[in-house]
Amino acid sequence: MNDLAGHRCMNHPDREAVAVCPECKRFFCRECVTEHEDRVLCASCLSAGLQHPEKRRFSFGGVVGFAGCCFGLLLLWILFYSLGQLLISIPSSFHEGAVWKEALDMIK
Amino acid sequence: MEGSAGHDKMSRKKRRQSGKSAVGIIEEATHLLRILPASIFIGYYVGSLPFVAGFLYFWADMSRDAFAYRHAAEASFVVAVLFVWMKCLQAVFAEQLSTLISNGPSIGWSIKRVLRLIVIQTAVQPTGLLTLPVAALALVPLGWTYAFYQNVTVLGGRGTAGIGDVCRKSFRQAMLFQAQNHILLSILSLFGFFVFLNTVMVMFMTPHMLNTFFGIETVFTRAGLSMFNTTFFAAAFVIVYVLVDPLMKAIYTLRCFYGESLHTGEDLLVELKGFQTEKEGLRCE
Repeated sequence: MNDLAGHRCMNHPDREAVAVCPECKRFFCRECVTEHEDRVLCASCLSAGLQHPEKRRFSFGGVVGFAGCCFGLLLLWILFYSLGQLLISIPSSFHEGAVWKEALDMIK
Repeated sequence: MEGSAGHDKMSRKKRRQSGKSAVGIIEEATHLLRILPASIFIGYYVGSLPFVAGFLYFWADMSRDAFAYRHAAEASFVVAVLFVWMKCLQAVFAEQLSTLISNGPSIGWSIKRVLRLIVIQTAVQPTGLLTLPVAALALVPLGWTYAFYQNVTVLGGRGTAGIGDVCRKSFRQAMLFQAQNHILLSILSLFGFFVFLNTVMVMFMTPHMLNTFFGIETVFTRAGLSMFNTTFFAAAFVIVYVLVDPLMKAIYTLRCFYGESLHTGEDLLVELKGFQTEKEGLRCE
């Protein structure tokens, strides 16, 4: 904000500057700037941007998302498979609840 | 008068920054669930019950079948897919709760939004099955870790942010109102334990009561203490999970709402909307 102090609007020399256009780096007053897509732009940069929209660059978001999905699914598969193997390795007498009968027999 | 008004303003500001009391949040979440339309609950259980049934079948099959090792890989893959399905529908449930809390318009589910939801839940939630037990063993980080994964469910359904943004926001939300988080987890752990005891009693007593009053003999009445096998306890745990989890989702949806409101002021806007509706109601009378 200290950069704006003392600067004047490029179009209106008698008005104080309130914003700097991030595209052309020039100073403008309140009436010469507009908010567009969360940015404050001057009229000429805004019209230039609308006439020549930026070409879509290849985004790695889709690839990262797909890789994340595969990783997550693989991790889940490994975890549940490990749980299955653990359950298979436990003796069936434990699964059947025979441990309670054995405990009662020991107490008797 | 000015002194008490100033004191009220300060305590309101302090309450906003430190969060509501844990009991207050639990109360508000319970009230939210009471006014929830049945269709939203049905959506939640359409997501959770297939996983619950699949997981119990998997447990029973792996415990008893002599040839379980032949199809363990396929069975575990199916359970993994059902887990993802459950987490996605839980995120949808949380999003519907958020819409109800903020009293705003519901946003439609475009293909992009659905895909983003699936990607976030599939990529992040499985890591919870590893980190939560480790956090539970270490004890200290459990509260934050649990809050993080609940926040991923709540924030992952918005469809406006990627995996990184959702994880960052979830982490920030988990660090907010820490005392509230830990106290409510302590209360709900105790609550969950008593729900578990009640569930075990109902599961044990029901076959015996059927036998006593109607003479219906089942394998459970003949099993005696052998009824307390691993599948029985697994069934009890998953029943407790589907009973208590909607409350947990409501609580963390509210926590995220109040946490985000510190910056957006949305809780104040909702309150103002409520006053306006009341005012219009009085005017009509």
